[in-house]
Amino acid sequence: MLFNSFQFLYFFIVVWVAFLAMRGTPRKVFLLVASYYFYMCWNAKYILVILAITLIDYVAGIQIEQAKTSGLRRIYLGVSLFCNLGLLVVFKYFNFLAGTISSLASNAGMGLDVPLLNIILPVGLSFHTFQAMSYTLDLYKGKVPAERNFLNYALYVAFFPQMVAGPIERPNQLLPQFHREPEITAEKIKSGVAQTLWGLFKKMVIADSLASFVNMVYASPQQFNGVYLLLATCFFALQIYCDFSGYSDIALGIARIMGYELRINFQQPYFSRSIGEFWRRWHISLSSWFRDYVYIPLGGNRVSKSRHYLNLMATFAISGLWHGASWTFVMWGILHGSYQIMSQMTQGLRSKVSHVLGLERFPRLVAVLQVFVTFTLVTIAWVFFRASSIQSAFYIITHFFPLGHFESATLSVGKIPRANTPFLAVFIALLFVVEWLIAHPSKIPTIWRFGAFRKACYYSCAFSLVFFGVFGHTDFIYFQF
Amino acid sequence: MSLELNSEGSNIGRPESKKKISANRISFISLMLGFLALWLAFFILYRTFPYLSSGSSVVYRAKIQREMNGEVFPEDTDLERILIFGDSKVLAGFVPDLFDNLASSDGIRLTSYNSGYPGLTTFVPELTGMIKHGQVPNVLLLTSPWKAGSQHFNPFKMVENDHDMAEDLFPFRYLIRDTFSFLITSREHGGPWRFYRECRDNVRKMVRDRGYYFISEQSHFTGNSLPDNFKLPSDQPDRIRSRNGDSEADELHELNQLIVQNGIHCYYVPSYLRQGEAAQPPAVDEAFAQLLRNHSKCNLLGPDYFIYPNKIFSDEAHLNPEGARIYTESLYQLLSSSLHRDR
Repeated sequence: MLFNSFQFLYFFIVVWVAFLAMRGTPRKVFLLVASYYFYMCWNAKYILVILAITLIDYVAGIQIEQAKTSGLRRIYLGVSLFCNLGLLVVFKYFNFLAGTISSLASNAGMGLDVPLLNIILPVGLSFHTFQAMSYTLDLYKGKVPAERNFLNYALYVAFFPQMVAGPIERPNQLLPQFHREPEITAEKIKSGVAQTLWGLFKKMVIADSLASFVNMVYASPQQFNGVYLLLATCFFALQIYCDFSGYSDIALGIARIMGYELRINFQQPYFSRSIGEFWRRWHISLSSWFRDYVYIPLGGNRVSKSRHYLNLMATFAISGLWHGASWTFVMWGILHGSYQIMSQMTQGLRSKVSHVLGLERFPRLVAVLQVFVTFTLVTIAWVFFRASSIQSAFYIITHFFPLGHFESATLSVGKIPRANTPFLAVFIALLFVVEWLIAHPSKIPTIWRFGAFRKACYYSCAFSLVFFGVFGHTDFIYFQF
Repeated sequence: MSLELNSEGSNIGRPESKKKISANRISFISLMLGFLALWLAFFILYRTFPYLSSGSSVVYRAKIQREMNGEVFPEDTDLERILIFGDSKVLAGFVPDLFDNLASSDGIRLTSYNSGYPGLTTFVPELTGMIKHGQVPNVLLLTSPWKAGSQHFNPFKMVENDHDMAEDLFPFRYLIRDTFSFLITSREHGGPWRFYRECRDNVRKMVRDRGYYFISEQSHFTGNSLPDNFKLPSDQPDRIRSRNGDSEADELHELNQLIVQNGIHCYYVPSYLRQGEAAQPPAVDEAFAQLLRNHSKCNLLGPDYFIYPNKIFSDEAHLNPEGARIYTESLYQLLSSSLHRDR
């Protein structure tokens, strides 16, 4: 069930009304049943995977806490990690690994043909396994106590607003919220509705409007000249941001309407002035997961320089692989790792150049340049994320120029009707203005204090969904992970 | 409502809390009323100015209206009734007057109707509606396959089609876009009022032309003719496009029933594409022909599509009047022997 569907709207209204009418355990049982139903709308039988993850980690958690020796604790942690990662390997990486082994063997002149599994990846598997693992890992480190109430733990794994695409919650943040009755106030409802509307606007009005054109160009890049490749790549940068941050906004919004608070997942990443900053503002729940459970355990930056760079590269490569079982995602991660390493290696040189050119006198200009360069680097990396193969990605990157002739009718073929184009341009500009204001609350104009103005903005947002939103079953990009 | 059911519960009953509850309730009700008022305002605008919508939407509504009123075929029972369903390509490609004249010159008395709809994804409900209103065709021509899938109850899929539901809940969904487009186009047509009347006249002409409509507003080329060198990057001159259908689809079963119950002769006929848009198709698409033979009551006539030169297209997808003449003649050539046989 997609957040941007009428089915979800009806589902949520029914769930919310019933949720308000209940208290205590029946309320939580109802919420869990609703969450399972929500998940089963994709593939009913895969609810068994969720139940398995829940049961294994629930039992492992209690065993880790009760274990008398550190060796035993390690064994229980190992069992939990093995089961979670095992599920990921079977469902997500088996065919990728088998394909890679087969092609390596074939290149080496051996006729090894590893059989492939004919299975579908359960939606959001990477998200809920990572969330489940953060529970047992934190428990092992003694950061959180074991959850004894199965209902609370099952909700932690399957709470429907964040179940299929995050934010990846930590046990110390989400689990305690299931121990108490959620506080539902008018202010929270208003704020939740506003955030949900904004998320829907980003997803349905911007991301989905751009998607068909991007799909068309990336399906056969050889047919298009530079201007289309560049346009589709910039559109994809916007699409993926609006799609994923839109999803996160809706998740946070609907959770808040129900009285729960989820982690902020995006903080206007395209205004970042460096790649490091970008990763502190993009998919925060995942990047902090990798920081805490991969990068720091590897030694982080408290090691030799070369080892530090290796840690960075390994973390980003794994992060790339987390996104998808394909070399394009690994390449995307490696590219970001290289950006980080290059950035740290050239820090001194850049400071010297800046000093020689006297750029310190123009801080705003420097900031704009830094944002532009960061956006460009991130957008180039998106080519690998979106392309169907490494070869295709290299083709696109090496054919941005010359731009060549642009035929506007191609936009219509890419399902951006002529009459929609100016509106879409205005909405994209509006997106950046609103996001900038969210990042700089002190700059919000005083007119925002007037209730009537705010109401007009909410109506505009709602009716822009009606007038310009794409209705239909358009998945969120991150659901495939 | 939210505060009344607040989990804290303790503040309910206090005077200031009651005040807050009623303020929230008023705020919520006023927000909903405001939404309803806006919905109503847009709906009134949409109904008051029907020709502000794009030509294709206006044509769509006018056609549906006629078909539901049972005004498709004349009363004369001696005439063979030919009905063609399809998308906007059929709308702008099939000329009933010409088709009837061609048949008449061969001694066949018939009346045809163009039931091409912009963005058509289904035709069985429309056909069912027409038959209910006594408008039963003798010969049914189709260009696109039936809608795939079954409509059995599925507890995990309560809403079948969000797009259709959005159109039903907000019929004025394209009002802003269409008004903007209307205002821009009206500059080339002597201003908004003159253009508004022109749109109204176009629809009347479409009714007179029995469903044929030349989509002039999408053509931005001199003489409504695409230049010879026109091509789009999305063109795939080496790829053959083919039709296929879901043999288990509910719509196929419904279509078969309608055909049998009403003694209709059903034929799949070619659509059309620009030169270079796709590769030349085989004379007969064997896979589709077999699908029709095994699962449907329809026959296949000709290839999946004709390929025509740019100059007879008015825009990247639709034929100009000259193209419509050629397409209609081609369809008649394909169908004429079957018409003689079916008589």
